[in-house]
Amino acid sequence: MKKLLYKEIVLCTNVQIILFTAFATFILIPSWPPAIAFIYPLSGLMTLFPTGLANKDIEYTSLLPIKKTDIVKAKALYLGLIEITVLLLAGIAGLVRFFFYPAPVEADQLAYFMATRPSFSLYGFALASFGVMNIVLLGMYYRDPYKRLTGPSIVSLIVCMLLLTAGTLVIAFVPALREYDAIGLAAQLGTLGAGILLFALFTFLGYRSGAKGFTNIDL
Amino acid sequence: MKTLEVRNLFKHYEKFDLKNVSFEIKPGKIIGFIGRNGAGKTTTLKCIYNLAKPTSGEVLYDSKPIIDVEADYKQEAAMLIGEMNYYGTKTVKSLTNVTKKFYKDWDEDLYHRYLETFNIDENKQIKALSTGMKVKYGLALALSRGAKILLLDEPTSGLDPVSRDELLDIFLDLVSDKEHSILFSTHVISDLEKCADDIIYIKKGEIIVNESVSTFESAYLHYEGPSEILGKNASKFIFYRDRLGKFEGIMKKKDEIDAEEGVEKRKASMEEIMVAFERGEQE
Repeated sequence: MKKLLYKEIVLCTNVQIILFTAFATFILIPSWPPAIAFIYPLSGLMTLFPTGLANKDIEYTSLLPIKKTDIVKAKALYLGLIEITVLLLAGIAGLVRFFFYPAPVEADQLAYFMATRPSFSLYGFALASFGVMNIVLLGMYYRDPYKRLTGPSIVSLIVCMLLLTAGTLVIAFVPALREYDAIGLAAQLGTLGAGILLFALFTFLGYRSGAKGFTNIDL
Repeated sequence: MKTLEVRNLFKHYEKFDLKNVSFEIKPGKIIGFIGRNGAGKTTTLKCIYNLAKPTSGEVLYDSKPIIDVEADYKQEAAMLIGEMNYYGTKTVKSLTNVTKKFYKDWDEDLYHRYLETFNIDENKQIKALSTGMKVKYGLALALSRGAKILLLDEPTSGLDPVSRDELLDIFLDLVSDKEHSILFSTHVISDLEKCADDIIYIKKGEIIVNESVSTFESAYLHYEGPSEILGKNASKFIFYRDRLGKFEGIMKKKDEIDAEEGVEKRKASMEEIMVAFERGEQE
C-alpha cells in the first residue's frame, strides 16, 4: 500500500490540490470564521477525480500488480492524507492565531462568529465532516467512476460544508466547546478525539462502500 | 511451469455476449488472438486480467483462481491495452520511476536497452510521444518487469513495419526460454504468420478456432478461375466471390475438389481464411 500511496502522491497530486490545501492557512485572516480554513481546501480535492479521469488513472492503476479493491483503498488513504495535511496546516496557523492575535473580550454571539479564536472542538468537527465527505465521495464515485464526476463532488462538498457550519453553530451555542477552563478543555479535547475516531471510521466505511461498488465495475 | 487456463467464460453485456470461451496459455507459446472489431478479444483479455468481471466461468493461474491470487498473478502476467497514454503531462522517466516500484523482478538494464532499441527519450512528456512511441514505451515497461505471461491487446498497431518486425523478433526471443508465453490480439495477419505458434479465432463472442497456425493454414484451400467451373461445387465453398466471369473461393481441405483446367488451386493464406470466415455468411 505504501507504493500505491507513493503513486497517488507523485502521479495524482495536481497544482490545485497543493494550492487549495495551502488555503488551510486562511485561518490566519483576522475576523474570518476559522471554519473557512477547512472549506477552501475542499475545492482542491474536487479536482482529484476529474483529473484522474483525464489521466486515465484507474486504467493505469488497474494494470499494476495489486488487487482491484486496492485502487479504492489507495485513493481513500490519499484523500485522508490531504485532509490530515489540511488539519495540520490549519492547526499550526490556528496556534499562531490563538497565541498572537488579540482575543475578543466579552464577545457576544455575533462577534464570536466573526472574530473567534479556533478551538480543538472545531478541528474535531472538521475531522468528522471530512470523514462524512469521504463516505459520500468514495461511495458514490466508485459505483460508476466513468460517469459519476459532478454528483459525488457536489453532494459531498455540500454535506461537508453543512456539517462544518453545524459544528461552528454548536460551538457558538455551547460555551464549553470553546472555553479553556478545565471543563472546556476536556470537552474540546473530547470532541477532537471523537472527531479523530469518526474520521478514521467514516473514511474506512467510504473505502468499503467504494470498493464494494468498484468490484462490479468493468474497466 | 505455470499455465493460464480460461474455463467456460461467459460475459453478458446488453448488446454483446462472450460465450463459453475456454483455452490455455502454456509456457513457450506465442498465441495470436484474432477476430473482427467487437468480436470479444478485448473483453476476453480484460476478464483474464480481472479488469472485467465474468458473468460466469473462471480464469486459473497455476490452477488457482486469479481472483484469489490477484496481486501475485499480476506480478507474473503483464497486460498492455493499446498505447501507454496515461498521465500525459508526466515524463517517461517519472512514470517509469513509479511503475517499477511495483515489480520485484524489474530489470533496469533491460529497460534501458529497450528504450535505446525503441529510441524513446526518457525526458519527454508522455503526451509528446507519437502513438507508435507510446505503444513501444508500454512494451518496454511490460517486457522489463519480468512477467512470464504477456497479454497484449493489439501491440503492433501504430508501429511502422520495421518496428513491428523488431518487436516480433523480441517476442520470439522471449519465448525461446520456454518460460514465457504471449497472447496477443491483432488485425495484422502477417504478424501471426511470422511468429505465432497457435491461433485463437473468436467470432461474435465465441471461439471458433483454437489450433496451431500450421494446422489452421493447411486446412483450407483457395481456388481461382472462370465462373463456369463453380457449378455444382458452389455449396462446398465457405466463401466465394463470383464477379464478371471470374471467381475465387475458400474451401475446407477435407472438401477438396480437383482443379479443372484454368483453375488455380493453392493453400489459402490466413488473411483469406479470416475474410472467408467473416464474410462467408454474407455472400
